[in-house]
Amino acid sequence: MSGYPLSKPGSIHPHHTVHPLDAPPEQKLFHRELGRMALTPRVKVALFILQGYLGIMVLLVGWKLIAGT
Amino acid sequence: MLHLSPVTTSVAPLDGARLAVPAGAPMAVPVGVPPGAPSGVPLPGQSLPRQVGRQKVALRLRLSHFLMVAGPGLIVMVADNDAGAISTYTESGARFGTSLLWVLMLLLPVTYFVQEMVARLGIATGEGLASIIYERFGVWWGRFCLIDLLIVNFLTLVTEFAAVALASKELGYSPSVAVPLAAIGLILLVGTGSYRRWERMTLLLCGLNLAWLVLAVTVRPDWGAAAFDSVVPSIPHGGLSGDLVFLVVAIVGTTIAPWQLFFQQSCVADKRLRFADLSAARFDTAIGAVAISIFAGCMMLIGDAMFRGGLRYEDPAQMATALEPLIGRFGRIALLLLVLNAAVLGATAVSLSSAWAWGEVMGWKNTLQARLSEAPGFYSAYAVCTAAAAGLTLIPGAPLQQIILWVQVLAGIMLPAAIVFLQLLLNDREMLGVRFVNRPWNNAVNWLVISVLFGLSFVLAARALVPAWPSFLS
Repeated sequence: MSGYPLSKPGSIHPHHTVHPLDAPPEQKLFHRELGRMALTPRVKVALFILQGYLGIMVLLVGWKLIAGT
Repeated sequence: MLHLSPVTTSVAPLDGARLAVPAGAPMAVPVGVPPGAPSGVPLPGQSLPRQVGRQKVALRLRLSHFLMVAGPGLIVMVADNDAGAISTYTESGARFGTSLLWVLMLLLPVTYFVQEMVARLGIATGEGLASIIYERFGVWWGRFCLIDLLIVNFLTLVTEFAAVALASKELGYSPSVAVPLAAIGLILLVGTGSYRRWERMTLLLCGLNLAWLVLAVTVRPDWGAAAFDSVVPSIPHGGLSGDLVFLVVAIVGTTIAPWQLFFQQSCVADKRLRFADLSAARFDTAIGAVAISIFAGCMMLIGDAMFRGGLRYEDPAQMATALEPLIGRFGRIALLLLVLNAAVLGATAVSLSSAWAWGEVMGWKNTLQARLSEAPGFYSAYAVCTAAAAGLTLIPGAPLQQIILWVQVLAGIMLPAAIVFLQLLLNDREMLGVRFVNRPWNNAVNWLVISVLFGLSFVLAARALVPAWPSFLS
């Protein structure tokens, strides 16, 4: 699965493909400087629903632990 | 798993979309298929034999590109048919015959849509899901997801080793030997310092699942009824009951598990899939989704043989023995080995999903390409999870029923959270730009899937916590 030598374009064999692990790394879209996601209304609503759901689940788990069943 | 080297952005030759290359960046470096390679499109004035020749070469290039990219999608799907899944699918067949095959057909596109999202996010960001949740949603949500994932994965691992113990005992080997051996084998599997070696070995284990097809044929199912039940949704004889609802929910919960999301994205990032690999990665995921449905269907058909024969069993290992008159001695051994294989495959995927997520959040070097000495935290996390789960299984009187209950509860908490973050991240234009974000139709489908998963996860967790619920259906 070895690839062709990328540094020598003239030597590229047209019938070969390059395994991702043999290719030079490409710049990805994520970087740490992005920071936190902007809290748009959609994000706020989604997180609010998620918190509500998790709250109900925590109550159920708490009930289970207290009841000891 | 950061790949933030100077820009050597590649241009997608396969999926037609192109990425804007920043000013001053070097020209596109060919990846996947080299520029100038035959496209398969005949040029004006070309003779017919030359056109055919170009098409053959183009096809070969695409196939070879796919074979290089394939792996994460297929592995995550097939590994999802783990010991717990075998138990759920065969129980479904044993209790309701082929009546619930349509659920698998319904889940096929759902599984694909969910896993395609993580593959896309992994390719676009080169990061695992745990790391991105941590960065984009803050420390609280990051820790919540990581801790929940680690606990549910650990408990799932215990169930995998419990299956190893049951199957080895049924094969005549002592669990106190088989379980440690399996744990050692699992640690050696990832510790080779080569992603490719791990992937090839794991794909080999995935390939062994083809034996499910042979076993399904051996039990001589009613193919007509199976085909009909696969495409026509119906309620089994006996009507809608709490048990039926719970089993359907369990099938959904088994088919779409939280660890899968984290696993595939980290796997894609570790394999360093490129933007140009997106189409092939999607195809890989689609093949995996089809494979998981076919193998799960085979398990239901084998359970259906128990249903038709009026046979009873406690676990899949006992089922293999009960089916011996029908499938023969060789079939019994094959079935037990398949249970072992499923447990081992599930264990490596679940452990890796934990180790990758843990390493991402802690900032450790976490790649299967690293040697043991280069990524001690990552490999230690994997080894500790594996060894501790194996050890817990061997404790006499370990509360396995309680563990299964908590797997369901924690999965019911984890899955909706992970999938909501995934959906929000795939609408994050600030991070992903235009090319990788969800399309409007994509969003509509995903929000529908998420709503259903919310409901089903709640039913699964609530039913596990309050066994009498939902009594109104009984």
